[in-house]
Amino acid sequence: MALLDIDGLSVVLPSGAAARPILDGVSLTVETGEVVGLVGESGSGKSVACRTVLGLRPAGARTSGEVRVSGRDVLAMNRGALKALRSGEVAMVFQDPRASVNPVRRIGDFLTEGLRAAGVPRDRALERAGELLAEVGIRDPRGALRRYPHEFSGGMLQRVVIAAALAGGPALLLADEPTTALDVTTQAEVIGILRRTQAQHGTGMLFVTHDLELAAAICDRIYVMYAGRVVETRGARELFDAPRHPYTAGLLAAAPSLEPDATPPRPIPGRPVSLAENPPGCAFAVRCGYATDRCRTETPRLAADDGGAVACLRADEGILTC
Amino acid sequence: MTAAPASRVPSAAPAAKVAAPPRRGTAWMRGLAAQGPLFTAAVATLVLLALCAVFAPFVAPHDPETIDLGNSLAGSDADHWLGTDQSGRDVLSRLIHGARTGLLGPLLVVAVSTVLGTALGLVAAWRGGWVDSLLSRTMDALFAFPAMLLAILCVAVFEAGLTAPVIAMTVAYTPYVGRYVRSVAVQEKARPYIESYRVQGWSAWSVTTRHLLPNITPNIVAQSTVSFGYALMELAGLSFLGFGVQPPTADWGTMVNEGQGAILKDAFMPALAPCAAIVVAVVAFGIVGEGISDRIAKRER
Repeated sequence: MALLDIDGLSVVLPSGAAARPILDGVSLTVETGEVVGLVGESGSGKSVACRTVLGLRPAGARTSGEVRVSGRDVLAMNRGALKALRSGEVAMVFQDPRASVNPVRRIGDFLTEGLRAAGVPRDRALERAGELLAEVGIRDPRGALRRYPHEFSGGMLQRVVIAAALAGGPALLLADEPTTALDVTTQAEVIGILRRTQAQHGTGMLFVTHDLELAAAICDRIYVMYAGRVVETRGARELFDAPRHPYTAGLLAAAPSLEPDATPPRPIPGRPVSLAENPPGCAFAVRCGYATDRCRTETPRLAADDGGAVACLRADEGILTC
Repeated sequence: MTAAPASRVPSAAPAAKVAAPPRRGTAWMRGLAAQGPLFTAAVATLVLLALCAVFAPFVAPHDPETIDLGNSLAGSDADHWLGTDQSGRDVLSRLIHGARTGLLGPLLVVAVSTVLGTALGLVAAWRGGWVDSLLSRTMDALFAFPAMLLAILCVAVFEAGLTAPVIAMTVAYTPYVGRYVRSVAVQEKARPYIESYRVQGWSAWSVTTRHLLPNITPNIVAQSTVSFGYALMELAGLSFLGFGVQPPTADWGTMVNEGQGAILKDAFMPALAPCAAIVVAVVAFGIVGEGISDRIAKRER
């Protein structure tokens, strides 16, 4: 049984008379101790998919499909079960650490709050919080407990947030663009810490990002999303080396490379479409250099190929030769 | 008169390091002290007024209700600093005793309306949807009643005195606080840290009481301080009209009423002194409230 199993998840947002779909039949799994990347452009639905794991749905949204954590369907949970899930089994690290911490409470309060609520005495909770801070590489953890969020740099604060996420001993860590708000040198450190603590605790991790190269560097497997659908999934290495979907290939080609003989970055033409304005057929067809008339009328289904799955009508033709 | 709701959007740039170690409470106090001499003077005035009210029997040189018709409308002298009124009662002593009802009334109004209004505002902000619509529209409807009219109605139903106007003013002020708290709470609730507590499994109740409410408390305090001055003025107005505190109890509003006849006899002090007291108190509350608002705005940046 997979730790996280999202099965055919669809989310439809009602806006006035016209219902607006956000996700369409998204399925993904995360095994215990596995790091899985969820990659896509803005508006592709990756964050929405990530949040449904905690039972957070956009207001008024209709969902179908199942989101199972350790076999239990999150979407069918009552409040008590959701609370237990959020405070224990699943933890989340947000994009901007500065915004996701109460600015007027000490770090010590922030870290011990959950432990105290679980009945841990104050001294023991503070001790545990100190250990957690040491684990994420904060110097002088005892002193840090007495400080306020604004006294930390962004990277340091993100470490604190990671420490807080680990406090409940989660089996699954959701990281929603945890490094997007940080500068590049700090990014590497935070990624290193995430990766190390995840490996030490055997935590499963769903890593949401728009950076395919970053995902390829740290994830075991990657799901690529486009316009509310998963368009390709396979092992990180294989995906990086031999993408089968033109969109994945486009994402990789759009990233600049430092190799001396590398081609200059090629942007994907057009702009990302949302599932709502999606014309019939493949959502990527309007931006795809390989699109045929068939692509514009027939919606491709995610079909298994060697070691992964891809949703492209021309995947078997070997059109991508990179 | 609404304290300007300062932008609550967290700044993109990391907050500059504050020189003073931000111990909650003490840093706040120090920050308030740095608001300038006007603010300090206003605080001192309010403290003085409060002390006068509490220790009136010990501070007042005379009994406020002892009538001495032989010494009617005396000018100021060493014994009666502010002179006497038509019945020969010492104006200063009545002024000092008048601070009791003068401050107690608004205190009750502000305390009760702040508690009720905050509760309503938080529920409306947190639940949203039809709960928000229902509460907001009900508050709007109440808001449409002028406080004075409500008070006069209340006096007609109950009887003149401190209770009826206080009840009426509380009813009139609650929607005011409720609307303000709702607007501040809606903004605060939209900040990501609230959601981050939600996804850690905290219930709506604990997030609200432990994080949301403490973080908007300074805004509520600022608002209440300004409201206190207005409530004081309106209650004094009701007393002046004869709906509030009844003679012979010393009260600033009734004193103005009783003293107005003396103006014709060239004795200004019996009416002027309580007027001045009301103005000073209202202005002082206004300055303190504004000072706290400024402090909040500075903290936001």
